[in-house]
Amino acid sequence: MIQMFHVYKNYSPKYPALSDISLKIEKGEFVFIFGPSGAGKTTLLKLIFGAEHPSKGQIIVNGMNFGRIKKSTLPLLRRRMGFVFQDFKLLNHRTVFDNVGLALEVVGLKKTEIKRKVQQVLKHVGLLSRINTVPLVLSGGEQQRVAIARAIVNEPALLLADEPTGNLDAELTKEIMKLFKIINAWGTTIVIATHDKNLLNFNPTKVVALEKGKIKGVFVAGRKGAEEAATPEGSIN
Amino acid sequence: MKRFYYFIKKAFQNLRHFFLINLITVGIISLSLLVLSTFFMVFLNLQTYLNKWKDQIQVSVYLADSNTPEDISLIQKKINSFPQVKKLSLITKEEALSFFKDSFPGQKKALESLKDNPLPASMDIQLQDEYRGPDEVNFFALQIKKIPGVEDVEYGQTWIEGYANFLRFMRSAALAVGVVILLATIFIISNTIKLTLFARKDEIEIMKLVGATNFFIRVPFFIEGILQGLLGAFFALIVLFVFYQLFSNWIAQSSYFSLKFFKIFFLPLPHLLLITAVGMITGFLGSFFSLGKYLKYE
Repeated sequence: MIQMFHVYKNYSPKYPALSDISLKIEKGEFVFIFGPSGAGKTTLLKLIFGAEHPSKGQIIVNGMNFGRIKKSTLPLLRRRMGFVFQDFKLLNHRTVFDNVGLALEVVGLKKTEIKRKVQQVLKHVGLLSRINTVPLVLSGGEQQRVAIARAIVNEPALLLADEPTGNLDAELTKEIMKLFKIINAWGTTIVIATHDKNLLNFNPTKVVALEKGKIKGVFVAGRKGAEEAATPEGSIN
Repeated sequence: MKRFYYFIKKAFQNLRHFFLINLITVGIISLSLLVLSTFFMVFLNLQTYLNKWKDQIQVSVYLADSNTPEDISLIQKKINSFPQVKKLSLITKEEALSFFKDSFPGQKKALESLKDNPLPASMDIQLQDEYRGPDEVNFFALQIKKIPGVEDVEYGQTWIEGYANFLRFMRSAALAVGVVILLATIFIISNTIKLTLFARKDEIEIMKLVGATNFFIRVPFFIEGILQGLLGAFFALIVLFVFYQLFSNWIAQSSYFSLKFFKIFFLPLPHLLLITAVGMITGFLGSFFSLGKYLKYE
């Protein structure tokens, strides 16, 4: 699904954001990019999502080499990915229906098809009753569920999330992570960037530990050895 | 076609959703276009008023005393054959004298003491409209002067040149002021739209996130810009028309005698369309250039 080969990203020559990142994420995996603030987690996600270009190295997502694709192809690739952010990034003057439907409007689906799909996905995230509400009157957890609904309504192969529970309390975090697990069970590859070590309890298949722009280690569930020592706690279970 | 309908619908939806910000934008566009259209109207009225002076331009041809009536008739024929001539009136020596006597009754005695009639026969020529420019009049006068039997040609040279210089100055000044106002209008409109877009940069970012192409994002904004320009022009022209009516009424009721004969007219249709086009084009260009900045980010 995602392959990175010796990827570097420099915003300034003195302080590289990412150095020599080589990584492989398989289809259907549930992965955490884990590390403190400033470790380079968001930059890593931005590279996968094509918002940034690597200074050096190769990135292949869904079989496409991001270093070689045309700028005009990027929107088409993004339609096969979903994104969830800490600040939800919702259109506050539009209804929940409009927000989720936007991802389908962009693809050019018919109105009836959009209605059907939006209703279906809102049912999955438990927000069907809030379909005509504007995001501002929803709780943080509900707003994040709207963002998730928007991210998955296109049935993407890959879902990226940047600190998705950063603004939520423990209870809502649990709720959102459960939702991610369900989506993962449908076959969607999920990559979550987080600094919250509590999230590691949600049984990821892989944890990539980042520090100062470098991979400190990769922990693969069910596998013991050198990689395990890479995570700060040494174990995720 | 279906896509186009979607874009139009989206643009109207956005105008409604961002009502206040769009109201402010349309208001600012209206004010800018009101200044521009007022300037246009003042300029056009002034130009028409000045053009009326042109109608009074006349060429007087003085004939030599040695001409026989046949010669005069021949000269008259020759001059009439010029395409510039609209109307020619012959004033014989006798007619000139009688006109002079009527005009200056005090000089009657002095004239009677003269043996001969000192006044020459002359022809007053009115020119066709297209030949009333200073260069054209000058060219015509030179040609007439060459005709044998013509002694002198007069056409108020100094006056015509002064008038032409004034008209030239006024046109250049109007052009300069017009260009400045037009540029200021474009600047104000595009910056207002830039501010509107700044308030909506999150929306653009989100649309890019969900995989919208630049085309998909751009088109509704372009339509919105054009609609803002159209509405701005519409309101500006309505306000201008109200001012025009009030001013016309004031002039009609004015106690100043000279003002009563000064009739102003409203902008003609081509100019109304031009103002509307300026609004729509600047609205479009404002969106075009401002959006480019936000679409650069991936």
